[in-house]
Amino acid sequence: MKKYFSIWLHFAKISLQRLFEYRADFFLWSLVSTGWTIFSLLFYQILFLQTSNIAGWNKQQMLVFAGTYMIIDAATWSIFWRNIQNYTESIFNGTLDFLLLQPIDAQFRLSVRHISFTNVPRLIIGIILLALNLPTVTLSQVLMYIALIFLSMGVIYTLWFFTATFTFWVEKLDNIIEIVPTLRRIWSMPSDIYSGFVGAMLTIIIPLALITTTPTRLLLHQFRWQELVALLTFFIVLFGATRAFFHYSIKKYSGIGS
Amino acid sequence: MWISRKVLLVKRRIKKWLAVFRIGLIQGLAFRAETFLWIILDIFPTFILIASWLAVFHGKTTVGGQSLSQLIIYYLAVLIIINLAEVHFEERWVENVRYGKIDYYFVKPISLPTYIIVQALGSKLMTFVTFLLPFLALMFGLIHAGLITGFTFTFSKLFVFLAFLLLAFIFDSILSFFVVFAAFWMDEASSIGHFKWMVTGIFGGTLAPLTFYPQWIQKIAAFLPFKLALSTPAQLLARNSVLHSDLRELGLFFVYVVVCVFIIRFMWKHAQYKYTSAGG
Repeated sequence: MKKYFSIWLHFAKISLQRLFEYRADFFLWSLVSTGWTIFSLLFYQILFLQTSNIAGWNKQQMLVFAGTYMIIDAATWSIFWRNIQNYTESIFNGTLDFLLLQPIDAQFRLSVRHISFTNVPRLIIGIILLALNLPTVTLSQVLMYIALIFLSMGVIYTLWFFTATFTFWVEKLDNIIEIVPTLRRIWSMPSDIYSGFVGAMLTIIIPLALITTTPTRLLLHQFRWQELVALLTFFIVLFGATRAFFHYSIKKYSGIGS
Repeated sequence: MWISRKVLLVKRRIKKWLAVFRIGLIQGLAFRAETFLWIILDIFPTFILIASWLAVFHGKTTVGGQSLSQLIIYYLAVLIIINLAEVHFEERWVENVRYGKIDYYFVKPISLPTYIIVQALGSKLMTFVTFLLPFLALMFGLIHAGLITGFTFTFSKLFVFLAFLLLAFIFDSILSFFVVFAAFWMDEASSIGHFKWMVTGIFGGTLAPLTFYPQWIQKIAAFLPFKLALSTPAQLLARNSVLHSDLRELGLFFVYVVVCVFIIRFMWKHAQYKYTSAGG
């Protein structure tokens, strides 16, 4: 565990060095990230220009929700996007061979090699939104909130890695990694907006709608244990399935040059 | 004699365009699974938008002067425009310019911008074929669920919408060319592509009809052409008939497109002199 943490720190350090090397690049992509954040916030603003509450969420609660969404989104995008992209590319062009020879867990190596810092403005905006709209919370709530954020990130990561692993089985489908970025629209809105079969599907069977809702409810003193159980169970099952699917796919992998 | 030479020139030009168009079509066919997935990924956010508005409409018949049905038709029209008129060639060509991979196109008997746009048109035809089935399934699903009611079809509406669609395709291609040509002067032009999507998304009306936006955005959007490419034709489909103002806006859009074509030609002329590549 210590070894892996130290490796992750080294990778983070290298990524930080790259940031200082390409400063203009960092500046422009940070602007892009800020722009998309404003774009997302505009949609919430448009909705609240027409109504005072959405599925029981008032504007202030919704801003806490938006803050949580920004934090989760910025963190997952920063840590995983480039790695998932490189993962699928390495399968298509055969460079995965070299990586599999390294004396380290292949999934870990594939998942943490790069860290992007261009989403820091999005993260900061998220934290500001929380700070400005948060009701009084206790320290234990904050700690539990952080744990839930990590759980949500874990769900997104495993889902992303799982879908990206299909690359082993398809000939050319570059946009397979875009599935999860599109799916995040589901957790960009509170789970209460989904009703009927879709609602049951997205909160119980595949509880993607809870990714942002559950941590937010905790801060709003509306926490539901059932949601945590659903999310945690889904994560454990999906993580196990992803590991198994990855190892099975590796066995079938022959490399482009072999 | 002079006329026959002109006819011959036009014939040759059309032959070249058809060849490039075919390349676009073949590429679209080769990557049909990818195209299909893109379409599904483009359709998906519409579900979330509809779910969000269903929550807003809870117990109300109209919101912001629009019924739920009108709003859904609006989003479906936006979906058609995004899939059939928006182009994404800037990502690939920014990379090509940056890494000096366009030398080859300078010696072709067709200019690079023409090559790109005709090829994009070929790919769009393939997109249209792939888009049709999932879109119809979505539409029939919404009609079956009783979410679309009172939609009237008229040929005049279709004709004006198609005219807007054609101009929107040219306009979006021009915006993409702005991004591609920026790569001749700067290293990280690919990030500018994101600003193109943001600006068209905000001022075009991707999120909702422009009348739903905050006043200050509406005021800015009124002076910009982006709404003509998206919000105006989408609103036209959601309404019962073509208004006089629609035709006026179509004319205005045409003028915008012509002006932008001149700017693009000017930029391309200067970009060619700016370009250098290693190994030549």
